[in-house]
Amino acid sequence: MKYRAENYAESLSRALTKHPNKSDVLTKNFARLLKKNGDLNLFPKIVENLRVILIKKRGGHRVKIEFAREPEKDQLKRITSVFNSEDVIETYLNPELVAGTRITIDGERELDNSLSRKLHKLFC
Amino acid sequence: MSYDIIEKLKKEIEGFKDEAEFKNVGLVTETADGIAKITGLPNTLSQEILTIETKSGDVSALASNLEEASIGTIILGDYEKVKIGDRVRQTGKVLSIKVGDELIGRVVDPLGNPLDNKGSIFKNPEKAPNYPLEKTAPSVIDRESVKVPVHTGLKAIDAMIPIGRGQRELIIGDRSTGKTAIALDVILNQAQDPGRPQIICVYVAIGQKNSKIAKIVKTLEDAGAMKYTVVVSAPASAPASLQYLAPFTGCAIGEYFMDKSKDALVIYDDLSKHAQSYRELSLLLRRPPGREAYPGDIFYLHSRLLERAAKLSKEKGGGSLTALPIIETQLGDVSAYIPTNVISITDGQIYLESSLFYQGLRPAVNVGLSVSRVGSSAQTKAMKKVAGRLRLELAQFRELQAFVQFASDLDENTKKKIDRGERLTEILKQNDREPTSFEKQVVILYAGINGYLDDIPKNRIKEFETKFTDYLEKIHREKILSLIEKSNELTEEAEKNLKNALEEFKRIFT
Repeated sequence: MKYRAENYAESLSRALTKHPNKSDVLTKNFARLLKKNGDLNLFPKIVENLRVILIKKRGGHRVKIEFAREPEKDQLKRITSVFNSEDVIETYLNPELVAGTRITIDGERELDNSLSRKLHKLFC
Repeated sequence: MSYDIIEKLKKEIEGFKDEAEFKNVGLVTETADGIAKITGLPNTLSQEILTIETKSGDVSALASNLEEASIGTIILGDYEKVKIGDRVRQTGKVLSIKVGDELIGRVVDPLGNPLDNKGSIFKNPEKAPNYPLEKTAPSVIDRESVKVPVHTGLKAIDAMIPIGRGQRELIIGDRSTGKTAIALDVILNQAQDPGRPQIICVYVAIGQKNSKIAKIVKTLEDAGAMKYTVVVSAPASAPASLQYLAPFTGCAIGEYFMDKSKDALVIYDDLSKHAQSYRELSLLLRRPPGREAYPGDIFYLHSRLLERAAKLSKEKGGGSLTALPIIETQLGDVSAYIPTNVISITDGQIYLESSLFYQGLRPAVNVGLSVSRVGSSAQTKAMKKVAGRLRLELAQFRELQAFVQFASDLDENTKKKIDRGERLTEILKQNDREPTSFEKQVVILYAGINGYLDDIPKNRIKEFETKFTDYLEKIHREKILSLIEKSNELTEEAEKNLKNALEEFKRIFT
């Protein structure tokens, strides 16, 4: 049977919760299991899913902030201060936005204040 | 023109709102062969239209598989534009098309876009009602029994396999046996059935060659049948997604007319190719394959489509939607998966046979295997009077015909029955695109079953029929044909006149 990245991530997370002191052994075993199943190519997806699970467990959100240009320190501080300490904030530079910012929460909700969206709305 | 464009743009700019707000968003994670997998958008409805924002414009997609972690969608536009990482938004709308009387005479694609270079369909598209492609069929309470006939113009069908308004009658047969020809004759004949309300026809072409569809449209235009016909075209070159949607579009258009208390007829040409396109999409969506690799819900796909054909009750307006699905069999195998499914869903079938076709019996209807479960309740009294005996005579003829192959010496009675059967079979032969009006069918069948043709040579039956109907049209229109047409009955008076006319004509003919 082929396992999905989400299944691997969920099982690793449960194992780590059950045996918090054995993280080294569990990680090694997990790598061996991936090799045995021929699923090493799923590793990046598994890490991504694991991050989501861990953030959810902490009660936080995964916040992705995209800027069209390098933000000023004050601006970045102002935006990040809106979120809780449990939230994990990732910032990216995305010139495709033309101007403005785009904030995505948990990959499902989005606040798009970019010029590219306004242009898209006007012409598409 | 430029003023209009500037004004339109000005209005759009004036009314443009740019406040940013939190919205649901999804991402394309996989895409291939007209299918896209999307993550996010947890509140998506089944059959909801999603908008994929690609770099070269928006592309619509239909939410089909709602899975735990992703959504499997069927891309409805140019799927080559869609890339991994494209953002997807919900529209909150299920798939629907704009309908209206303006659709009559037009050729449209399954999304309702015109294909006939005659410009936009609706003058006021905002006012045109939206009809969903998927809709629940009318309930038992909303229905009425099928009583009014759909005259096909084909003697073999109108006499022995009558179709009623609101019925679902399957046309089944191998390739090149005349399935589409029957469907076209049905459409053409609707121009010459003045005794009943005009039927609006919808012809749905699924997976056919573009050249064939163009030929069909030309035939309908030349015959003036496009005045009451809509063509929905999803040719073989169209993506599987459009071929899958085409019958539902045809049905939605038919339903619009049915809801307006009119009679509509939808021809699905053909559902075998529709099943194949649905199989293709289902396999790409990784749904588990079943028998002949079709998905598990292939029966439901066709049953929910054909159940929408109905005769509505008076309270609901009294409109009707008749469905004529077509199925192509392989080497006459009616026990294959899709043919058996559709046979069991419909209210009867017209079975066409290659062997009859090559014997020159056209339409190549196998009268023994063809049935109409609605029966004679969808026949006029005049037709009932001649059809009952016709069926019996032909059944006896078929039985004797098999017996004759072994016996050399026949008694007089058997010979007579065989002669009569051969003449009746001759009467049932008809050329393509020459549907006969119902009153003319009645008179020639009357002549046949009452022995007026027994002394006419077999090779002159066709000639007799043509000349006799011409003779009636010119000399006895009022006394016979109009009487039958108006009353739908073969009254004593009409019958007496018909007998006299037959005797008189036979003297001239022989």
